[in-house]
This record gives sequence, C-alpha cells and structure tokens, in this order.
Amino acid sequence: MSENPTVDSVVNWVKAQVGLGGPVKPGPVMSVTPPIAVGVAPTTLTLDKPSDTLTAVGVLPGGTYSWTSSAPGVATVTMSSADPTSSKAAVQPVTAGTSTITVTYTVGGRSASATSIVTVPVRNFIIVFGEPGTAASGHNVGGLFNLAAQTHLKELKANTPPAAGIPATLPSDTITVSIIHTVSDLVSKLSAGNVFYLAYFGHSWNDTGHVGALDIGQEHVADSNLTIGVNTPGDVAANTAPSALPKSAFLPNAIIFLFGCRCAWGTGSIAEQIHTQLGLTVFGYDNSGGSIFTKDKTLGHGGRAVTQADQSAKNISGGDVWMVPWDGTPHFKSF
Amino acid sequence: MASGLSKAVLPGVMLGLLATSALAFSQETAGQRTTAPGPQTARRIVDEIGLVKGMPPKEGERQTDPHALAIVELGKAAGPFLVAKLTDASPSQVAYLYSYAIGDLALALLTDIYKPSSWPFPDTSSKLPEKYGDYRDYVEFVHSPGGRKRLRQSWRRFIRDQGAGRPSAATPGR
Repeated sequence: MSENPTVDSVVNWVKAQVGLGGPVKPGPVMSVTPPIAVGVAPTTLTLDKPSDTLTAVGVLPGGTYSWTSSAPGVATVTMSSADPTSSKAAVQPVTAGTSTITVTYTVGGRSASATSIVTVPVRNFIIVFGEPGTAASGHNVGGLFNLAAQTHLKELKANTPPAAGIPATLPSDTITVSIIHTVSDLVSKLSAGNVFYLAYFGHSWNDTGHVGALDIGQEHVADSNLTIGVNTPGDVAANTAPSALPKSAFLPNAIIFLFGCRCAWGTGSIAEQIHTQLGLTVFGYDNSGGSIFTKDKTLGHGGRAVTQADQSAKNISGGDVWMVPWDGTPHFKSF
Repeated sequence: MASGLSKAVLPGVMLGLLATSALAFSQETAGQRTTAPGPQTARRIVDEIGLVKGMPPKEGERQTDPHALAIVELGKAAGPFLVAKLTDASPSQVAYLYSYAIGDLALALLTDIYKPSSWPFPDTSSKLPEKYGDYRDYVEFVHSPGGRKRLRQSWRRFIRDQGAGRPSAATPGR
C-alpha cells in the first residue's frame, strides 16, 4: 500500500481555487516525492510451532516499523529486529483462530502498511488411560495409570516430553486426559477431531505366535480389547479391530504413543496394527518384559536401565510417576 | 497376547506328553470319547511351570504362552499340583509389574482354571490387607511370613470342597 503526497498537493490547490480551502495561493509547485511502500512475507502463515517470523521491507530507507495483531488473543506479535531497510517480528500462538498482523512503515511523517494473515490451527492432544485391572488378574495397578497419564500431561504442557518423537505443544493446543473402558470410549474421545497426538497408558501384551492388543477394559467383555485378533465363536466379542478408529479424526501428521507392555515388541504388535490401519507414526515400547512404575525421571525418560531396586520399589504413590518396561533401558520403536 | 491368527497355539509340550505318556487314559461315555491326562501326566506338565515366560495382563483372556496354556487345559486335574507350588518362592521367568515367583504363577493359573469369586483366598477365609489398593498389596502379603502358606491352605480347602480332577472349560480367547 502506498500514498502519493503529490496528488494531495494538487487536490489542496484545487480546493483553494474553488474556495474550499484557505486564501488563494499561487499554483502548486509540482515536486516529485518518492513513493513509500512496505511489504511483508509471508502474507499467510499457519502458526503450528511455538514461534515464527514475519519479515517486512520498506522501500524508502531510514524509516521505522511497528507491528500490531488484530487479535492478540489468537496470536501475538513482537518486533524482534529492525534496521534501516527491514524488520523482523516474532509471532506466537495463543489460541486457535485467525489474526491479521499489520506492519506499518513510517518515513518523514508518511507511512504505509502491509498485512499477513496468521492462522493458529486447532490441535488436540488426547491422553487416555485404561482400566487398572482386576485383583484376580494379579495386575491391578490401582491409580497408577492415571498418575502416569497426569505426569505425561504435565510434561507435555512444559514441553519436557519423556521420549523423542513426542510433538511439542503450543499454548493454543488443547490437552485432555481421560479414562477409557472400551474401544468405543476411545473412538468417542477421538471424535473431538483435529487429533495431533494420542497417548495411551494401560494394559497391553503381545506374544510369539499371536497378535498384540491393548487391553483397555479390565474384564473380558465386549469391545474391551483393541486388536485384530478374532473373537472366539460363542464367546463375547471382546476384540475390536483398529479399523474402528476414525482416520478422519487425526491430522495428517499426527503421532501416537503407546505406553504399555510390549506395544511394539515382536511381530503383529498393536503399534504395527494401528500404523497399518491409520498410516500414522505409532510408537510403542519394544522391551520384552512387562511394565513397572517409577518416580525417577531419568528412568522415566529412558536415561538409564531398570535396576532390581526399581523393580521392587513400592513407594510410588502420588507425585510424578512414569510407566516404563520391566527390563533394560526403556526404548521406543516406531512404525 | 491375542490369539486371533491361530485360535490357540498348539501346546506342544502337552501334546507331546500326551502322545508319549502311557499314563494318559481314555474314557468312553455314551459313545463320546474324551481323553484326559492321568495324574502323573498332569504333574509332569505342571512341573514345567518354570518354562512359562508370560501371562496375559487381563483376567479371562486365553493364555498365550504354550506352557501356561498346556497347564490351563489340564483343567482341574492340574489343581492339586498347582496348589503344591503355591509356596514355591523361587523366581520364574515372568515379570509384569513385579517379579513372579513360581508360587505367583501357580496362583495365576489356578485362578484361570477355577475362576473363584474370592481372590486370592478362594475359600473366603481371609482378605488381603488394603494398604496400596493395587498389586503391591498381594506382593507385600506373599513376602510376609507365612503368607504363601496361608494361600496354600485356602486353596487346599477350596479344591477339596470343589472336588479335584473334574475337567473345566478352557478359557475363551481372541
């Protein structure tokens, strides 16, 4: 955008001649004033990272830049650098929505402006945890799945994830934690749409010659396992295949992390099944053992191997808790 | 753990023993022939409990380890031999939340076979202390003096009242 003071001078002179202005003056002096203009790049921006940069260039040197956001509640803008010929500004997301970022360039009392449309996308981070397990299974974890899920929530918000591959969160992202009892429950949570990240904490297994499963519900009841394993004729339909998961609920580059026993171990793991179904990157532990819970962040982040003391630790109630494999150094495998 | 690709992994150890053991016996009942293992065969299969490498994480799911499946498919014939192992605190190959002793494996398999309404004391003679509200209550109990013996007593009474040796239906699986 630009303005031309020469045209203004002519207009003022005309007004004066017709009595709309002040005293009649001599005719205008036709001087050529260089036009002022400013450009910004990019002109549209999808803001899917903690900060991005807009660059403005004014065509006349020596001016000053100022930046504003039409919706600071969606995206903020802060000038990060300026010199006589250009300026950079940092834009940061606040909530999902659209904001027009305007840069104004001023030289000698004249100014020009340009805009960039910034879109902060809707992204849902969904953390779910399964039922704790019955006492008679010997695998009742009480509230520990919930505690591990809450710790994950805290670490996602602080952008201190326990493993590589977990996406960074933005202030504009929505992060939820909830219990699920069935595969249908999981599908219901996914129906929020725009799922950018899914994490599961719960029981799971895989074994040689079989196919893996998420044992979401603690009872052998209908729809309680996510697996391609077929149901035994005459038995309850406990197994629901990953084809029940709605691919359309996920953003194209969504990531899934499975915190459970053998989720990516062996052949036919549940991580592989979900990847095959959804075409998304799915991570799971590929350690061969079961799981334990730990209060040690280094272990929870895969920074060391499990010790016998970790395996027999009982004081793991309350506070931050991580769910890690029973043996070795916690290691994720992705499909 | 799902066994959908093969309805059941053939419990090779069991089949092998059945095929070669002279102790297996047959019964003819109303024209229906059923084969059940004799006590010595059951004992030999249960004695291989230390070969079990994994257990399903969830009650009611079919065993996926062939040795565990072989024991469960013995049904109640395995009961007395499993009860005898309840006090065996030597380590097994199974670890899921805690390191399973042989006695813990025996309890898991007994539970799978009998599906008692009260656990881990099927005769309802006692209850686990509720300190943690999860598996740690069991672990602490069996590590307490006399814990495993109390379990064994409870299961002995329960099986005596149930009547050992009757076959039970195998757990359905995926």
